[in-house]
Amino acid sequence: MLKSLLIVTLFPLFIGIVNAQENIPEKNPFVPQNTVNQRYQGDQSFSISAGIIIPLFTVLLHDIDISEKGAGGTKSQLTLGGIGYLTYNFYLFPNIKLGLQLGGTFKWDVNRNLLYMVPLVLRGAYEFRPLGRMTIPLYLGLGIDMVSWKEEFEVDFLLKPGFGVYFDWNVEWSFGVDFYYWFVPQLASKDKQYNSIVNFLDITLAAEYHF
Amino acid sequence: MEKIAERSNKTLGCRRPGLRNRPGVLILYALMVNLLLIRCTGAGIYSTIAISTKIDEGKLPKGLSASPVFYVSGTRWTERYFFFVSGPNIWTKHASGERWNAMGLNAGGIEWDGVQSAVATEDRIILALYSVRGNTYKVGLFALTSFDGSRATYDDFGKSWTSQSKSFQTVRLFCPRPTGDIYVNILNHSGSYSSLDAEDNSFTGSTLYKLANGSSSWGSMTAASQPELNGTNKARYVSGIADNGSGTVLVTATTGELAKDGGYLLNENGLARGNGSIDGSYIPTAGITWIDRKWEGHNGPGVFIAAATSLKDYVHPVFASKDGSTWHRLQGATGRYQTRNFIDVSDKTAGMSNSKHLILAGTSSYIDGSTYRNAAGYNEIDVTNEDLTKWFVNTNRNSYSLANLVNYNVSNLSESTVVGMSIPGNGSVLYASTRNNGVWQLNLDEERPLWTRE
Repeated sequence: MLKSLLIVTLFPLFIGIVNAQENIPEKNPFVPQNTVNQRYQGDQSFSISAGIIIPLFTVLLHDIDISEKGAGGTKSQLTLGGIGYLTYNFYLFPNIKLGLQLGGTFKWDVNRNLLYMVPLVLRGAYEFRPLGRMTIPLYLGLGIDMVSWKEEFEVDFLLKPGFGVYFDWNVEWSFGVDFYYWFVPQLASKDKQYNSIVNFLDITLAAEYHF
Repeated sequence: MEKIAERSNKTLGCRRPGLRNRPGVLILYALMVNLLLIRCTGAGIYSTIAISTKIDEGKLPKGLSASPVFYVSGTRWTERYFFFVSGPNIWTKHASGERWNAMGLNAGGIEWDGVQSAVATEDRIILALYSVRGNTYKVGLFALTSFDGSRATYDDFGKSWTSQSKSFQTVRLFCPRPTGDIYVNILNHSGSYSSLDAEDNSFTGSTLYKLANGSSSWGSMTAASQPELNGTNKARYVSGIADNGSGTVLVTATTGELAKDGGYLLNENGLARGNGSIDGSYIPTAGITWIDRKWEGHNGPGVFIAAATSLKDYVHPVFASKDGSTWHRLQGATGRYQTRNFIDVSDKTAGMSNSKHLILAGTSSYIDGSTYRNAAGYNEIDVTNEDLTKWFVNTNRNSYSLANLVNYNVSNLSESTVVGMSIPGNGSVLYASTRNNGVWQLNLDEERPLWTRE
């Protein structure tokens, strides 16, 4: 079920990349750049970011017979954690970039067991540029979240909408802050009563290099 | 503005339309996702964490490995104490107390470096203590006979083994019944002392000695010649001894725990019992135990139970026998980890939940070739049915009935190697001693009790 879901969701995105890139017409290489944050089709960027991840809540999809907690929202019982990302972006259009983002996070449960998550996300962004040195990207990320806790390991679907606020220091470097909401349905438990949806919010400081 | 235009022109000139081998990337990505999905354990991590209960971290040092918890009584013991052995210390606490204290190993005028093996009789703890001084390695046999809260008294059996230039000995102790005999397996190794590991290649054979329960002097070999142990037929060491209290004592021996066919079943004299096989197989076993199966309204018969330590059909099978001669392989079990010990809780409130009568099987991590296999706490076996072929080793911890499942599943105990379990004084507290994860206890008088860390 999960395999099908992932393939169905990710496949069109890759096809989208292929088609979009195949149709890029050659640009005139001598177009002048008028503002610091002006981007062109074919520009690329690489960003590194680090910050915190805040567990919001967990939605139990069923009653669990060994617990008094019934179906519905409940505390995630995870601590605030740390998070970092490496992201590569490619501008499909001057205001739209598509990127691949690899992250890593850690946090603890109530018994001090570490929970690791490694999200791998294909991320689209639309950039508003209200000022010559300010960029506000809106993100939509889609991908997988590899999670490890004690002896357990799972791969879940991950939806990550978000936005950022960036100051463009010069044409190469931008610095800013990103906010992401994580929607993680964990639906492939061997025992269906353990299926759940978990939600996180992450806030990261980012440095982005354009080339 | 000029700079900006210059940079823009330069980079635009170098621009490429993107990744060249896009179908390859796509296939690789899909393959990676599928490979990752195969590894999934499907436990429902977030829901398990969300329903977790907080477990007290206990007072013992973190990362502690412990022997089973012992309890002794008798006229020389004015106060009641629990004991366990860990590395260079014996840890003790008052039976009504909470705090464990470590005491050193000063016995026979020597400060020993550690405990090689320990067992408890009804009123003594028998210890094989070792020391290493320069190139000299020595093992001595002692009995802890009393303790006043700060100082221990040891009786010296007057027996020790000191390494020679080309040989040394190690000692394994067994006391299958607190009121019964003490068995001492002396393992001989060639070469210089360097390791206490019986699995090493320098193991040349062993001998089995028996001491009377109250003896304070060295015993005698159980038989003048023990060809299944001493290397005449094969070099084996004793991996377990069980006593049914009615005259049948079973001794299991092995050439090595991972050997395919090095196991052998012996009698109390260290001689072959029948053809030495268990269920027609010479697979090595460990943890052989006698289970009484006596609960209210039920009076046995009891069974011997033992677990194979090497794989057969990709599983470490568990065997049971009512008479020690006819063995049955139990259903279930797994090859993911080993089973190393058993304890009977079939007559305790916690062990009778869900109309079952349970025994617990402690699991152990092991190295399968080059792969490290994690342990999984304990398994449950329902021993209610008189027909042993109906018994099933339950490895699915979500269907266990002994303890509170949420508490057990999130505890480190559920993924630990259980070195041994004990119910001191046949009371109401079950102790589980682990490798690297301390000692855990559970109140057997409750239904679905909580495991707490000592």
